[in-house]
Amino acid sequence: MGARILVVDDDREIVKAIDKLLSMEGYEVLKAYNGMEAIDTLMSNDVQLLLLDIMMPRLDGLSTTMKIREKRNIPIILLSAKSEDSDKILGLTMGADDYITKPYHPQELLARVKSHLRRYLVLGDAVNHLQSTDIIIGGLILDTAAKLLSVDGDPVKLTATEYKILELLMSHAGRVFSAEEIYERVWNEPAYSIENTVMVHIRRIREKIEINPKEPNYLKVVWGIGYKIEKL
Amino acid sequence: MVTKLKNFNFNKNTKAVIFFLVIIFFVIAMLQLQLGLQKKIDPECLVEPEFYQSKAFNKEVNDAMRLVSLIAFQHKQLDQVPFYYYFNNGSEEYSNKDETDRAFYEQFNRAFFYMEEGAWRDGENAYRKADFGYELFKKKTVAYIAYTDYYLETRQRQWDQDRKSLMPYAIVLCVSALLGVAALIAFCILAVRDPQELRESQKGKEPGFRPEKIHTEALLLALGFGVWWFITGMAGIIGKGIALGIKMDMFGVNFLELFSADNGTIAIFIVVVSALAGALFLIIIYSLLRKWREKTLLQDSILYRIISKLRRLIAGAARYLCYGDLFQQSSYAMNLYYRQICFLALTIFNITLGVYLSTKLILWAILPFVAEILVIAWYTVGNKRIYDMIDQEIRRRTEEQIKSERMKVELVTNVSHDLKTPITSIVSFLDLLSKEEPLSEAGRDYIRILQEKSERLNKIVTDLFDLAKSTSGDMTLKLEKIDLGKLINQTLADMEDRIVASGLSLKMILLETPVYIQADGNKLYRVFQNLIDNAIKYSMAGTRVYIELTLLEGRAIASIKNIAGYDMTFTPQDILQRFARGDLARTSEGSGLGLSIAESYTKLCGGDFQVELEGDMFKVFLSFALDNE
Repeated sequence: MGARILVVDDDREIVKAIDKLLSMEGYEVLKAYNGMEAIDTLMSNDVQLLLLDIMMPRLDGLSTTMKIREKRNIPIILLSAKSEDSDKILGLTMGADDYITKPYHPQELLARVKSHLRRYLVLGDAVNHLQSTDIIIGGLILDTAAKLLSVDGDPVKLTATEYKILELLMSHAGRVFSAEEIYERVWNEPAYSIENTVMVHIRRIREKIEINPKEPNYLKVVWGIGYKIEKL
Repeated sequence: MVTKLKNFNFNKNTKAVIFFLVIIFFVIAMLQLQLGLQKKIDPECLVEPEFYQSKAFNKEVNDAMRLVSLIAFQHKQLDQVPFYYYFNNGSEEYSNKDETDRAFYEQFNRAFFYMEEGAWRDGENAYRKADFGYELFKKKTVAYIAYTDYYLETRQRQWDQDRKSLMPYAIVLCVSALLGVAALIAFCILAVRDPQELRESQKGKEPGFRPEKIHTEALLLALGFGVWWFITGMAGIIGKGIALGIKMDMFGVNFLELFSADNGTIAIFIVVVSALAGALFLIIIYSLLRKWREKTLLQDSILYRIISKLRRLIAGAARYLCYGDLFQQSSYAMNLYYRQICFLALTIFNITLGVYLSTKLILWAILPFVAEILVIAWYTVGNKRIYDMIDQEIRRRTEEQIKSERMKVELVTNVSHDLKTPITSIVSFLDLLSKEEPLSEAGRDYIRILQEKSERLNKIVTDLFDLAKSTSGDMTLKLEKIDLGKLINQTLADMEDRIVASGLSLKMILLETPVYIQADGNKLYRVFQNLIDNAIKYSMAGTRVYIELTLLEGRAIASIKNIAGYDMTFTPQDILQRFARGDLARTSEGSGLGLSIAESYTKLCGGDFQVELEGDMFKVFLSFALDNE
C-alpha cells in the first residue's frame, strides 16, 4: 500500500518496535521523538497517519495534536500510558481520532492503523457517494435501504436480528436502550428474563464491528442500565 | 534477698518488742500510780521537804481562817481544831484558849495570823502568806489564829515519814514513765522508717487488719478523746490529791467505791485497762505516723474526700459552662477561652452592679450598661481576630493537604507510566520476535510464556494503579441511578464464556422488580466482575456459585457465595489486604488485588463491603442504600 506513517514517541525502543511492525506490513515509517520534531517532519513530508505519544518532552502529544489540527486533517492515533476515561475523552476532544493505551497489543494497533487509513484514504471518496438512507457513525456505514453494514469500507455480514438491533441503536446514537426495550422492539414480544439473550447478540455484533471487542469503540454497555451506540 | 528478709523480720520483731515494752512500762507506771494513791498520802511531800511551806499547810491555814470567820454567823465555839484562835466582833467573844491578849498568840510567830480592818493578815514572821480574807467584816472585828511549834513539828515528822513511804512508788513511776516515753519515741521512729517495705509486707502477708486504712478523722478523734480523758483523769487525781485529800480516783472513776474490792482485784483491773488503752493508743499513733509518712494523711480523711469530690463537681460544672478543656488544644482556643471567662465575669459584674444601682441611684445605672456594651464590643472584636486567624490556618492546612494529595496522585500516575512504558516495549518486541523466522519450537514456547507473563505483569500494574487512584480519592465517579439486578445480569452475560469454561454452575436468586441504587456503573461492573472472577478461580470444581439479591431495611444486599477449592486458613481481614491470595502458594492467575479493588470501588460508590467465612463457604456481601425516587 505504501502509506506513509509518522510515529512519535520519546521512547526510541517503542518507536523502533512500531517501525518494525508497520514496515513488515509494507508501510513507510517516519520517526520523531518529540512534538516539535513531529511538526517539522509533518511540514516537510506527505504523511497519511500519525501515531502520537502523549507524555513527551518539549511538546506533549495533546498540544501537538492541537497544532496539527490547525492545518491538517490526517488521522491521529494517540498512544498513551494514561488509561483513565478522562484522559481518553480529553485526547479525543483535542482532535485525535483514536486512543490506544499502553501497553497495546501489537495486532490491535495494526488493526486500528489499517482501519483509520482505509477510512481516510478510501472512504474519503465514498462519502460523496452516500445515500440519504445511510447512517454513518465513525467507520460504520449502515445502508438501511439495502440492509447492509460496512466497517471501514469492508462489508460485514449480519443476521436479521443483529441488523435490527444495530439499526435501532444506530438510528438513535447516544441513546441508552434497556435489554427489555431492545427485545420488545426487535423481537416484538413482551420481554421476560432476556438479559442473556440480548447480551449474546450484542457480543456477536461487537465481534463483527469492533477491533477489540473487550474495549469497544462503538457498541457500549451502560452498566446497570442498558446498551448504546456511541455518538461519534 | 536473704538479708532483706532478715532485715524485714528484725524490723518487724523489733517493732513488736517495742510495742509491748511501751505497754508494759505504761502499765507499770499506772500500777505504781494507783498503789501510791492507795497510801492516801499527799504526793506533795515528794517535792516539798518543809511542811509549813507546803500547799497542804497553806490550805489548812485558809480553812482555819474560814472556820474562824464563820463564827460571826454561826455564833458558837469551834471544837477540836489543831490551832489556837480568838474571835471578837465587839458583841461576842470566842476562843479555845481563854486568852484575849494578842501577845499570847503572837508568840507562836511562825504561824500567827490576825484579822484587821475586816481582812486577814499574816503575822510579821509568818511563814505563810494568808490568801484568805473577807472585807465584809466589821472594822472592829478582831481575830487571831496561831499554830503551836509542837503541832508544826509533829506534822513535819509525819510529812517526812509519808515521803519515805511514797518515794519508792514515785521512783518506779518516774523511771517506768521515762522508759515508756523513750520506747514510744523508738516505736514512732520505727513506724515511719522504710514505708515501702512495710507497705509490701502488708500487701503480701497481712491482708487482715490494716490500721492505716482507718480514716484520719476517726484516728484523730479517738486520739484526742483518749488524751483528753487521760489528762483530765490525771489532773483529777493529782488535783484532788493535793486539794481535798486523797481519793481512790483514776480516770474519773473511784474504783474502790465501784467495786469495794481488794487491792489484788484492783491491780488486775488496772493492768488490763491500761494495757488495752495503751495498745489502742499505740495503734492510733502508728496509723497516723504511717499515714503521715506515706503522705496519705490527707487522702484518707473523710473531709478531704468530701472536699475533693465537691471540687470535682464544681470543676465539672465550670467545664460544662465554659468548655475549657476543649480549648486547651491550641493557643487560639486558649485565647478564646480566656476571653470568654473574662467576658462572663465582667458581664456578671455589670449586671449585678446595674441591678444594685437601679434600686439606689437610677441615673448611675446607665454606667454598667455602657460598660457592658464596651465589654461586648471588646469580646466580639477579639473573637473575630482569632476566628480570622483560625480561618487562615485551616485554609493553609487544607491547601497543604490538597497539595500533598495531588502529589501522591501524581506519584502514582508517574510510577504507573514508568512501569507501563517498559512493558510496552517488552510486549512489542515479543510480538516481533514471535514473527522472526526461523524459530525453533522451544523458542516459540518460551516466547508464548513471556507473552503470558508480560500480560500478567500488565494486569497487576493496571490493577495497582486503579486501586491507588481509588484509595487516594482522586477517582472521578459518574454516579447515576442504576438497576443493580440488571447490572448483575449484564455482568454475568458479559462473562458467560468464562463461566461456561470453568464448568461451575451459577445459581441466581434475583428480584422480579428493579433494584435502583446510586452508583457508578463502570466501577460496580468491575466489582462484580472481580468477585465472580474470584468465585470462578477459587471454587471447588463442580460446585455451585450462588448470587443473590435481596432487600433489607431500605438497603439492597447482593451476596456471592462459593465453596472454596482449597483450605481457607485466613481471616476476612487478611484476605482484604492488598496482594492477599487465598492459596498461599500463589499458583493461580491474578494480581491479588481483585478483592481490594472490589472493596475500594464499592466504598467509593457508597456501599458496604463484607467478607464472611463459614467452613468452606466464602461469602461476600455488598449493601447499598436504595434509591427509590
